[in-house]
Amino acid sequence: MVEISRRTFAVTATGVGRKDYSQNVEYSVEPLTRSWEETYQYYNDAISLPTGTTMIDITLVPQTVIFIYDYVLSVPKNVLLNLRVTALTTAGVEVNILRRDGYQRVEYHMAKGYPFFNTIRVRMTNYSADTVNAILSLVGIVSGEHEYYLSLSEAHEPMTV
Amino acid sequence: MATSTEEVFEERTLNFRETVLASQGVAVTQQFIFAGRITQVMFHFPPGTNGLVQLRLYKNQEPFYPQKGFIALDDATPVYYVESDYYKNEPLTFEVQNTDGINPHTVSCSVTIKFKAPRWW
Repeated sequence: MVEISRRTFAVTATGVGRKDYSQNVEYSVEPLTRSWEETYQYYNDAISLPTGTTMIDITLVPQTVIFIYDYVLSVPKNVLLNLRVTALTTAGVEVNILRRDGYQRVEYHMAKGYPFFNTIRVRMTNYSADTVNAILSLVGIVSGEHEYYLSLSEAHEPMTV
Repeated sequence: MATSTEEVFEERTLNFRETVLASQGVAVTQQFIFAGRITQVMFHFPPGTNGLVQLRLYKNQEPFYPQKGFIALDDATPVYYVESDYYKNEPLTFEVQNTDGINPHTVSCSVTIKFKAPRWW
């Protein structure tokens, strides 16, 4: 088991392969890591809701997609509330996502979540004559914008003739 | 009084693992001090070689496996069972030709030799 000689020589290239794992490859053949996800939560417990509608804009980090699946608006009084959530695009177009009513608490769970890109606009309506303190909680998952579009393209079913 | 003697056979593996740069070849020679039989030859191609890295094993400067041409695979570890005599200090040469024009690759070859161990071994 003794090395007794070593010879190096040149060869003619016939093609191009891929990096193998001995070369400290930082990415695999699947270029994007999609298994790791970070939880997103917007939690505001200091919202004062006078009679009428109060609007809040939540600006998101550029090039991220937040999938919001839990929407909760809660107040300590038994008053009628309305929670309306819209997605505001960069072009200023507002898209309706959720509109729910409830006494003292409005809660909605969206199984797959809705992807928000730019800004989340929340309108909270207090139908009572009293000003109430409210808690707003939005829970979701952070993803990358590129990963989101990639998952959309993969979900597309091929055409069958 | 008759005594029975048991022959003890040992196995040793000659390992070759070479990182070859793009458009380069390398031939490495090893030898083993005891005579015996080559029982197994294994090659390893990592994912990414794309059939561009050619391997061949020589025994005493003659092609041993494969006997004609080279073997060039991707993401494979073929094992070949052979029964071939190995003489004491016979040179075994592992030749790699990386015809990938851009990427270096690390490939391996493993040769298993079965031999009769002397008492002092």
